[in-house]
Amino acid sequence: MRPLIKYIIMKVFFLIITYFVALIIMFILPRAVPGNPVQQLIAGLSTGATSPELLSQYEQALVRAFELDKPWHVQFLNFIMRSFSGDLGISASSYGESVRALIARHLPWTLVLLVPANIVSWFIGNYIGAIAGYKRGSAMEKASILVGIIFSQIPYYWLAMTLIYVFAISLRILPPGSAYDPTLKPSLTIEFVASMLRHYILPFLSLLIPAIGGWIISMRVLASMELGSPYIQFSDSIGVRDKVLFKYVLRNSMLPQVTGLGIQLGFVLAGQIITEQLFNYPGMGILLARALGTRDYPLIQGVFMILIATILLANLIVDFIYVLIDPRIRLGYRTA
Amino acid sequence: MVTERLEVRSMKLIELLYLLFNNKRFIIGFGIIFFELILAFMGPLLYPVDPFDTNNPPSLPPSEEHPFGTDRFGKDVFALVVYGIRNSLYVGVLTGTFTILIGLTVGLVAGIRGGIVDEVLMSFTNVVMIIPNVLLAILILTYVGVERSGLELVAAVLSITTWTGFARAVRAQILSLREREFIYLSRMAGFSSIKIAFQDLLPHLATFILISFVNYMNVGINGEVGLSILGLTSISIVTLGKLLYFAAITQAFLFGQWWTFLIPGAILILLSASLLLIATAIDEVFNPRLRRM
Amino acid sequence: MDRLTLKNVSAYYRQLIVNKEVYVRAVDDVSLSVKKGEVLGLVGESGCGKTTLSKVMMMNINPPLEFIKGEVQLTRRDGEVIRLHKMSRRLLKNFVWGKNISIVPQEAMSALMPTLKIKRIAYDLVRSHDPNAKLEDVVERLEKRLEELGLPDYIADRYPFELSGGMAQRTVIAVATLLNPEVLIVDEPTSALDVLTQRIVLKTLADLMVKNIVDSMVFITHDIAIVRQIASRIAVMYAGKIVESAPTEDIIFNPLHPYTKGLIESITSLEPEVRKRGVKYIPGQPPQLINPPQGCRFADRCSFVMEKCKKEEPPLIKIGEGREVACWLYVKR
Repeated sequence: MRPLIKYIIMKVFFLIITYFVALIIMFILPRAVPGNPVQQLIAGLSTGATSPELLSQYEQALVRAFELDKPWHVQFLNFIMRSFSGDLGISASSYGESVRALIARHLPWTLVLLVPANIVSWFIGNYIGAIAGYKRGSAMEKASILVGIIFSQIPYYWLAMTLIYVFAISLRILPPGSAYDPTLKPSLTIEFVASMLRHYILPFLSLLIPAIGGWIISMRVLASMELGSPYIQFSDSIGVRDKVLFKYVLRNSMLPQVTGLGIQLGFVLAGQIITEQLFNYPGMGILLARALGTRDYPLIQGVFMILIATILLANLIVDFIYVLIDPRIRLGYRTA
Repeated sequence: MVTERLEVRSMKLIELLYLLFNNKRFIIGFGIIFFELILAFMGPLLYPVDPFDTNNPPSLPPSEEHPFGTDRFGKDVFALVVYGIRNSLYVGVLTGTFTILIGLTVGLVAGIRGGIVDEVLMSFTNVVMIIPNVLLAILILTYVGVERSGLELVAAVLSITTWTGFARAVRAQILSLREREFIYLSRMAGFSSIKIAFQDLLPHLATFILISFVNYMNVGINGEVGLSILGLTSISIVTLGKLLYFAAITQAFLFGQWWTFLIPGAILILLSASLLLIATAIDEVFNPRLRRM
Repeated sequence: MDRLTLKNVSAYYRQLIVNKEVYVRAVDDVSLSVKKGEVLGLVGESGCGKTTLSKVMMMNINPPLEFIKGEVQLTRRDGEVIRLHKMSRRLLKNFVWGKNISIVPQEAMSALMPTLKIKRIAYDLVRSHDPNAKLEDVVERLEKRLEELGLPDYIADRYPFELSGGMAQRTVIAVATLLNPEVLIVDEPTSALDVLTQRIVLKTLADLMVKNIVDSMVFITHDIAIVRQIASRIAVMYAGKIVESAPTEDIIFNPLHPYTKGLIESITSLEPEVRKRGVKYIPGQPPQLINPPQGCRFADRCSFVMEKCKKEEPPLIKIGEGREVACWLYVKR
């Protein structure tokens, strides 16, 4: 178990360094772009009847409040110190609402939509891809390649528009957008859950179908590579049953796919900006788009602080799962 | 594996082309690309309609006069599609080229020099990898100014965010090739790293680069669509993505104007699926483990 | 009593060259038999078709390889004769492979499923032939077999990648013979190993015969010096054909076919007669198997070549007890 502990310590160490480097970049980048949140707010107010003096006073107060008068490294240190106590600051574009509350409101919707879509597509795509790779040259393989190639190339936003057009506008059997019926209040009643599910189908499908295609393609290649390996040929020639061989192929070609899923799940927190906009779905994508559009520094920082952490954490978990399922790594004969 | 690769290298070009043109996937993919190219370059001659002319009646469904109908602004969708394919292909080729150049440079240097150079380059690659690419694109494009950004800038932005995977793959290939005898012999003979890279390693990587180019072309075409959808490209340049963007912001799908998004989208899917078919076919023909007799 | 019999067997690879389909005649009209209690050494240069012949012996034919003609028969211990060439791949796999005929492939290090322990691999094998098998029984059987072959029983609890080259090779042998097949084919079992480990593997293979785990063995190699230590009979293959077969001592000390003579003379061993004579080699290259020459395939490299050799193919004729040779020099007019 010794190499394993050393391995984990090394991993975590590099993870923390990467995290801070990425955080610094994410802190500087928005500040390098012209425009800042205060200018955006003042520009919004200057159309009204506010007097110029009041505006300029207001602007100075805002600059102080967002600490824009301080050098960026002071801002950064303050941000880090505060965030350790759970304070991510006040959003500049949301009428004084706290970043934490905003994220807490948008995050569940994104998780509910993206996590199942990612996992379900992973299972379906890999299963079809593995069968296709295993049955080389069969009609089944040819059909799956075709389906895989076309599905994987469908842009998910195009599919979203098409699904809305077909099911919501032409056939009128499903709602065109939102996460639930706006006349209902979020609660755990049957009525609300039913409404949620009806609103869920189209965005879910628009994300699921293109993702399945991608998994089919990569898994087919992995499985057919595995199929040509000496251990499958030997097992085949001593009469090990095809069902068992398929399990072998599945088991060994699944390993790299686990990494892929983990990395995708890490990015889930960013939401799907376009899908959420098309469906008017209140997830993280919409929040992020607004943050970037209004140069809302606290909101950008807050979202990315959590996002980068989950990406890295997902990578760590993937490595750990790898250690659990691949004995070659567990016993130190190979690195992930 | 080694002998198989050498055998592949010694195949004649004609033989490879024959194999490619005997591959159904390649023929289908090539046929679609060829058709879309004809449409893009001959289209304006055969169908001399100005895509920016807004004097047609708006939101017309397909008819004899306007085969793909008109959009909300009265522009002819067929004329727009013809222009869009050309610009989309241009972005694709540029992105493919830039991505390969950046990724190849980083991957080759890291793989051949090794040591601290390798460590630094790979850490840099990893950091770029975890920065969400949409964000980087938004920041760069807003910094330069969306309206001033040509397709070249769009391709550059896309390449800056996508080269990482290719660089890592090149490095991994170099590391496995480096162990092989012929590289060792070159070193013994006193060749410098750069000479080794060009004479010994690049031919081995050629297939991989070709396949990656086709794939990154695809990434470029679709990435441009993504940026357009987010409103991050110049409105005055028509691409397939821009057509989808207009359909999205005018909510054409809510008004039942299917021709404004279904048709450009279907053409986009055909285009990128055929690129993928070509990449798959090349892989099958060049990669002995996947080749079938 | 014959265990495995091949009659006039041909198997060709179908290949595409530029735009023509051609056949590579890797196994061309081969007849061969392996008797009970016999270790047959199959010797030839690389590319002569010996590995292809091993596939034909099991009737494990996969594209681009095609079975053209001939008969492959296996006689079981209970006396029943199975005609392999008449059976479907599914039948062969379910009822014959691993049970009556088994193989130890060239790449032993990667021949075992890498992410399972040896006992699980053995369990999967036994269960494929006997769905009711229990894990404990299989483990017991495996440990007993490992012990019989001089291997430590803890191997059952190891993963394949934890074994050294020689260990892995012998473990593959143990797994391949777990169901006591009548016939075992071993393909170049020693070529990747150092000299000491080669000895141990040869001892393991000999144990299989001594302990009656298998009835007959086909030992495929390019190295005649290795095979003479274990084989009771040697068949020499050249360019897809058997050119000579005889008891080992006869082949070594009195080779008949000019190619066999060349092979023997090219052995580098420490025996005094070889030292005196010096090492020789056969000049030239084997012929292309796509369009093999009309007459004897060795004619171009043969120092005894006659007019007839280039026109007519020599038949494999019987010369004395258990000796066969295909050469015009030995055909009495």
